[in-house]
Amino acid sequence: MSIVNAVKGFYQILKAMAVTLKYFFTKPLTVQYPKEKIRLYPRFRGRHELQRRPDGLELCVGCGLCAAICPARAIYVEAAENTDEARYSATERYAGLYEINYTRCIFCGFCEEACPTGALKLGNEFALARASRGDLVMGKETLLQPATPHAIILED
Amino acid sequence: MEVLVNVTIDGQQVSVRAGTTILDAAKQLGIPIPTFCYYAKLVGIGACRMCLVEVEKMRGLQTACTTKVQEGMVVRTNTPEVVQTRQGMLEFLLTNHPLDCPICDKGGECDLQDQVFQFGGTVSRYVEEKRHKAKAKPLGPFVMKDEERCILCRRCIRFLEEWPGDPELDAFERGRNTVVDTFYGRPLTSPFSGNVIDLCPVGALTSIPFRFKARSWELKRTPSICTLCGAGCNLTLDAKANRLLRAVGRENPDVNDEWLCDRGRFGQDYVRSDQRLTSPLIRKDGQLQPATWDEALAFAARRIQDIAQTANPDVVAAVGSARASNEANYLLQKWARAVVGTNNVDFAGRPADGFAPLSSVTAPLRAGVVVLLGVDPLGDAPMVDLWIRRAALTKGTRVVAIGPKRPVVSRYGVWLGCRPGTESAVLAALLHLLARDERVQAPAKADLAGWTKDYAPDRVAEATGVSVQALKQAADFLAAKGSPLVLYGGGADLSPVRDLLALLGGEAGYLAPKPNAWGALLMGVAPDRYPGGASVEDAKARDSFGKQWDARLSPRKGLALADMLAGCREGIVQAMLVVESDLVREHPAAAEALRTLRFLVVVDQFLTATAELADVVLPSAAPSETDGTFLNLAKRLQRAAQATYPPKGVRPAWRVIADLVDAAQGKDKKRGAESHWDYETAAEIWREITRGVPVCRECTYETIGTAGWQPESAAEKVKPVPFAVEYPVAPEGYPLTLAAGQALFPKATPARYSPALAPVLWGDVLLVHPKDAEGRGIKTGDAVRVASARGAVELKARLTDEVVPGCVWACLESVAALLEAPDKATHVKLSRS
Ligand code: SF4
Ligand code: SF4
Ligand code: SF4
Ligand code: SF4
Ligand code: FES
Repeated sequence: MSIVNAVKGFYQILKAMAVTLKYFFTKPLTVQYPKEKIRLYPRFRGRHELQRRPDGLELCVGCGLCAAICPARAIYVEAAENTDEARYSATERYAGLYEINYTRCIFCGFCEEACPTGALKLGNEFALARASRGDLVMGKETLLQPATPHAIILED
Repeated sequence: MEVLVNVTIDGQQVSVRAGTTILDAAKQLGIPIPTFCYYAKLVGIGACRMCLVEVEKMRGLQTACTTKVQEGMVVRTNTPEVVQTRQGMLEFLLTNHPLDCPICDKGGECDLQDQVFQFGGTVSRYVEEKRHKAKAKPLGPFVMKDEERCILCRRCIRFLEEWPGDPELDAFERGRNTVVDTFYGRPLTSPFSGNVIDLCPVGALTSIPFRFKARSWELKRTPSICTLCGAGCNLTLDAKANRLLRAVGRENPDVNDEWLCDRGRFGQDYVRSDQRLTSPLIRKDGQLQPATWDEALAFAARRIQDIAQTANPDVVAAVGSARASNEANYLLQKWARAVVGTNNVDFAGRPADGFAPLSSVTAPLRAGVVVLLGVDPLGDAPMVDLWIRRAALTKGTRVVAIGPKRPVVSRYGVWLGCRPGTESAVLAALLHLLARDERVQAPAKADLAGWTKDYAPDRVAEATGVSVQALKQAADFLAAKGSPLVLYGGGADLSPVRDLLALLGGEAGYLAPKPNAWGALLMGVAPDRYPGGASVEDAKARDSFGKQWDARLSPRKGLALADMLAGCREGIVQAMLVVESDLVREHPAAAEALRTLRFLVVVDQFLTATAELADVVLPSAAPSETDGTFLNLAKRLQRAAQATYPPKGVRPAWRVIADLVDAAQGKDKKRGAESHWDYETAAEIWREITRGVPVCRECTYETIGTAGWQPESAAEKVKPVPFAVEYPVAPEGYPLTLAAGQALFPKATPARYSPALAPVLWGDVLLVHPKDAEGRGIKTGDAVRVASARGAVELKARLTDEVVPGCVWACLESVAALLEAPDKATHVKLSRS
């Protein structure tokens, strides 16, 4: 029954070509990044951002719960004590050392959920390529900076 | 006879001893009852009401921790009423609790967290403003207090009352304003204050040195022992990111129960000191300069070889250490005997012949009277001090302290203050009284009555300055209570001690201040003994070790430490290898002697005063950075386990010695040829040790485990011996006697390098009796000059009646250079400088 098979095959090819042809005439999804901005939903999980209080103090108290929950062991926290001369957070304790290793992070967002003070938010920044591994371990200086992602944020 | 009673708890039957609490009975059945104030090692007070249970035929709920079981009692621990009450109790606690968990150092190991999680309700109904109290208020140098977190269980208060007997804490104010505090805001000074940190069920009392260093779940926990004194307390070393951050007590009823002294708890951080040596040093142009390991080892090995070959092996000497592990000490003596070919091995603080270990660190519990013969356990072995206090508080044990400085524990008895060198006379007076006391029954009585007839209390009192009344009181304690425990230090005269034991029974032991004095001795770090104790003159032992080590061993006895040092100046000793021993700060005349050496190699963690004189310094790992075994003051064999890796460029002492041998064999060493010095781990050395040391034969690292191993010791029968008392005569111009000892926080290596202990370290202080100060115009804080025939040092005077008139006291490290011998009191003169 090879003739039947040949006809069936030809029909399949036509069907597939039809799909191709259809997309040939629709508007392409490809974004000309970075010339164009990427469209993201607001809950897209990108680089972490450490939050501050309105008065500028850090919300993070260095409790290490984010590091404890992290399934990828991407976070390292070492706490330190505030003094009257050098105050970083509102309580006795702050994160003296806070590092996230983006070669490890899987952007699951568990850390944000574990944080008791709301200090940690996964922002929308996704442009995380760096020239060296070392640069992918980001410290407080970077994480405290709100990132301006190269994206258009869609309605939720 | 034990009376058993039957109780039913949650439908399960159990028979327990009468007097057992419901809580303990439930524990036997494995039924959990939540508690806060209850602590097995403290007297129950029923303060927190967490443990309420229902008891049939009793009105209201009962506290399980204080209610004793009775025959036929029926207890229920999980009725709705009990469950609801627990929730209520927890809710009450939480109304006043700040919920600081994210910033609280107790978080993760907090009883309140755990119990709210297990037994508590889910939502808080308390919306009002919480009460506010003091936060982060230091109580002394080590303990931080947060009043808001306190749940008023009084564990801290009870511990200080019931164990060290330092009732420094109490609860003040009333109701919800109650706070735990010291009296008049004074700092917490108990030498055992750190234990309240472990005891506090919440984060109200936390450790200052550990503050915010790590969360409990981040810590790598290693069961190990403390090596800062001879007690060898069991502890857990907690590290994060290869940094040793804290030590907490670990249960071992035969050693430290579960407590630690503050030296041991907070002093372990010396390993993190920034003064650690991290690279070998070689002296070039008179200066110690960093070098590579290969360079330093080859240089040291070659120089020692040259010196031994041009003269003879006996010009080389090896000094081990009571601070180093058995493994390091063993390899050191093996190096000296098998590689160099000399028996010149010794260490500072070697127990003299006739000295005995204590039967146990807890020996005070079994004593009627603790006799302190010139020692202060608070400095030498703080845990023994704690057991003396505990024995005094719970068993009425008395303390008779004989010596120049008043120990704290003499508050439980009497202090017979006398100048060093007259202790035997004081003991003789006590024997005189005891031999004539009808309460004492012993065959030796008649002999002793005769021998001591010249030491009637009034005569001894006249010669020593001890009051007759005090002597009589001490003799009365001894006669009434019996079974003395005599603790002595190095240099003690044991004859009168034997007589005392012959009269009253009991035991006597050497209070070894260093963690491994008995171990170093057992490992053969002695000029006349092989590992295990066989004499070097014993041909059979020599053959057997010679075979084991594949070397011809010298049949001549070596030089003891004092002779080595004396020999340095005459060229009898020309090269020396010193392992983890700060001789200059411990041994008189060491400084001058070592300077005259042709070649000195020091292996240590720090550039100690001794290492500063060396030609080659090799950095070694601390006990917490490698494996090793130690023999404590009761000859209990325990393992110090590796908690962290050594800093980069640092090797364990045992490896350094093995590497030194490899460097010496250098190119001759055939590749693949079996060397006796190929040790991969400390355990391999230990296996070799057990082959040569009969008492350890059965022991492996596994059988020693985390609890340690104590060989059976047979009590020996003591025969009374006559003895002579000599009163020391002060030479012209040196009217005072200098006694040297150890402080709780000594400036000795390694405690002196601990950052946490730095604020409390014993300074260069000299204790002077006001009577002696008066004529010399000395006031507290004045700089004074103490001079002996050997030299002079400048110290800060502190006037106190803790020392006897005519005697000044300082820490050994400050005055080692002045002494005649390390254990010998020395005549000095004192002046303002
Ligand atoms: S997002 Fe997930 S993987 Fe990344 S740091 Fe947080 S917990 Fe870790
Ligand atoms: S980010 Fe949040 S969870 Fe992580 S340490 Fe800071 S306060 Fe704790
Ligand atoms: S400070 Fe801690 S141990 Fe002391 S009473 Fe308060 S909760 Fe209990
Ligand atoms: S008593 Fe000795 S062994 Fe025990 S913790 Fe203190 S220093 Fe360490
Ligand atoms: S544990 Fe029983 S009352 Fe506190």
